[in-house]
Amino acid sequence: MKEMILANFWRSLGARFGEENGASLVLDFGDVDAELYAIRNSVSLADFSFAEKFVLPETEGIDALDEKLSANAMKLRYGRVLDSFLADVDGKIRAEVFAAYMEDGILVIAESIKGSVADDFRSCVNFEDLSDSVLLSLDGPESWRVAKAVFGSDILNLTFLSAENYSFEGERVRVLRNGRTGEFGYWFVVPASKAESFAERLMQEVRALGGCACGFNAQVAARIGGNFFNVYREGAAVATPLALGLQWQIDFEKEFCGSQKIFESREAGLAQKVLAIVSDSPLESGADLFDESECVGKIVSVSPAKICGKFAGLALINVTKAFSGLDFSDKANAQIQTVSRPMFIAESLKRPMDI
Amino acid sequence: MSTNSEKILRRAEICQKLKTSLITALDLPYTPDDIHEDVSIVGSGLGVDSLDMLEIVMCVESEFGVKIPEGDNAPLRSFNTLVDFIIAQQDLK
Repeated sequence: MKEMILANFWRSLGARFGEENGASLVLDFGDVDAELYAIRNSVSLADFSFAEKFVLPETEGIDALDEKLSANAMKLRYGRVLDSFLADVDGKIRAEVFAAYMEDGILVIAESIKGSVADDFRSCVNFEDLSDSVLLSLDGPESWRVAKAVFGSDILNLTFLSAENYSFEGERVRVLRNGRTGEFGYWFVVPASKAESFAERLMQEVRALGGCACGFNAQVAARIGGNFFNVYREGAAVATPLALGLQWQIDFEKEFCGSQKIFESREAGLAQKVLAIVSDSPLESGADLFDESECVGKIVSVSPAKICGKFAGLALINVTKAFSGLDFSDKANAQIQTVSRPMFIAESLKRPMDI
Repeated sequence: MSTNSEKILRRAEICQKLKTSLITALDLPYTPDDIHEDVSIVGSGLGVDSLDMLEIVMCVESEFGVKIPEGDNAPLRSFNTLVDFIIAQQDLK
């Protein structure tokens, strides 16, 4: 397994490493609760370089993406980011894919659980592999201050799901306003030659605001609480896009890889849905959920940190019982409640941007 | 306290009514079953804009007799948080 470009940098900060789909990543820095706190209350910096990154030429790229992705890539406008998924021929999730229409082409970032997404597009003329780049995620209600300190006030004009090129020490940094936590967030794609100095610069600003580096575990917790899909957890456990609530990423008027199976299951009707759950007792992934004596579903993902003071996770529940606000139990009779997502009002919505 | 059955009946009715109403008002390319209850209303998800927000506010008032205070976007974070708000307001009456 190839080591991360910034492995030594994160190691010097106390990183603990792990792996997803054959790619190395930082799991945490020893305190997932503190890292989640930084995401929710100040600012955090995470390394998402385990995601695939490549650039496709404009016209050919959009055509190629539209053929494979669930969303209508033809509607992608310049400067905007499309959030979609890639399925296999059986209609099961392979990857969540972000396509940003930028000045130099279509930047594609793919979080994959099955094989390489880049390999699907290598035949495109002028395919540009960015696997030697680093992808950093800056998240938190104060993340805009860090972005502004590094790139200037102009970056504050970047709205959610938009993308723009900026410059750092003479090199292009591709910037996406694409937080996956429910707070303000930015993704930065940085060439390897500038990765360490860029990460150091960001961390300087992050620390000044009382934030910290964070690992994948805190991001898993943040996505559960913030109502963002995680292909590595519930995506891998459930696999069917409709049960995962990804209908909004699908153009039901077009064909795409796996569409036949997905449309057939839509016609047949959903049997189960993913919903958030909380409990005062620890949750166990794979455990059954009961409504009195009736088994109504099972837990498919557990947050590595408490959310709003509760153990939290996601469960796949029979549609007749898949509603928020219900009381279930596990086999040990611990009480578990279904809750709506997002589980809280993000600080980013409450704090004014005092520019 | 309501049992799960009572809660399901109430919530399912509100969800169905609200989904049908929003699909019509916003001209969404979905059936009610396509709308997962945790779908975001703004940003990604249903991706509504400010004009659509006004339509949603009017839908909620006309269908459920519940008013979303002006400038209060918290209920509109997701379909489920909107349903939570409707239920909470109905319980206040």
